[in-house]
Amino acid sequence: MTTYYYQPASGNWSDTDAWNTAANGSGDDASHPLPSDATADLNGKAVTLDVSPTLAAIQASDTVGQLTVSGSRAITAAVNYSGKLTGGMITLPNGTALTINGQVSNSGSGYAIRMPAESNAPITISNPGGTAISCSYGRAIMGFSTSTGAVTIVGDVVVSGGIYAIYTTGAANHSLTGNILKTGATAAWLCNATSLTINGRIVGYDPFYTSSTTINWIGTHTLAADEQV
Amino acid sequence: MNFGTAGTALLLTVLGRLTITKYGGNFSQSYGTVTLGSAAAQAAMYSNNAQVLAVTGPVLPDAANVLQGSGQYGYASDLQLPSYPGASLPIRIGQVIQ
Repeated sequence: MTTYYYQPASGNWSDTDAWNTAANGSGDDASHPLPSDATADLNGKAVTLDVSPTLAAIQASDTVGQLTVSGSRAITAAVNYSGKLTGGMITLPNGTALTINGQVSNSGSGYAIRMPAESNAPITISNPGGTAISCSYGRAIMGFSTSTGAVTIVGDVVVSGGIYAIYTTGAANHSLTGNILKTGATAAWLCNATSLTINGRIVGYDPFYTSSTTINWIGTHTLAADEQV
Repeated sequence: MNFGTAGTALLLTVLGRLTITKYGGNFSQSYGTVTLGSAAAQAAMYSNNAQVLAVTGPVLPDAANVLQGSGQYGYASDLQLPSYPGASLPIRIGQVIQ
């Protein structure tokens, strides 16, 4: 059974007793590393990611809970956001880097991952053979205006809703090794970058919205008989 | 949009339907090939220049190897030609961002 751990107060992920089994802090205290089958809930607190945790999932549903990356970090877990925060559940400041080994899901009107305009922080989301990004609402990745962090995705991008599941407008070279499987109305990826290289199937109406990106579609693929619009 | 690059070509087999529309920018098809993998597959591409993907049809047997008459394997009474009707437009490239 999944055990949920909550942030009772703002601080670093690795602070002693930074986690508690009750949202109000009345449960059992816990510290990094949390159990591998745990789900960590930001619980509306500001948390600095100062370590590279491995667990089942990290989630947030609040409009204020935010995880800010410090240094170069890796999250080995699913990341699930269902909140309204357009400031992002996870923020990548300039000079940082983040790898997520797992699926990123966004089901709220906010943004799961935010790269500020001044940031050069790259992000890799890797779930080979599975879904790397699932977006049914809002945006999974939001790169503000001139943010230059490269987005590297390994795994499928599944878009059933939202307003551009991925939004990148700064100069950067992005890549997707996986499929775009889109059924939502709005383009899956608004991309005005240096380049976007896709090695996978592209299925669905209007996958891209771009005016300046060199898109390289490469690889050997088969569009199945039912993959048509 | 480049359909394939010098380093890695795009080899696309279509069993369903492929439709591509370009609203701006340029296509480069130098390293791209689309193969219709069945007689039911369809491909339609719209571009305002001549740069469109090369599309090859499904591999048909030589006439001498096609049997006439009906049978459980679907033989036709006469030789059949596949058709590739147009389709809706799933990929739009080069739009100006709002």
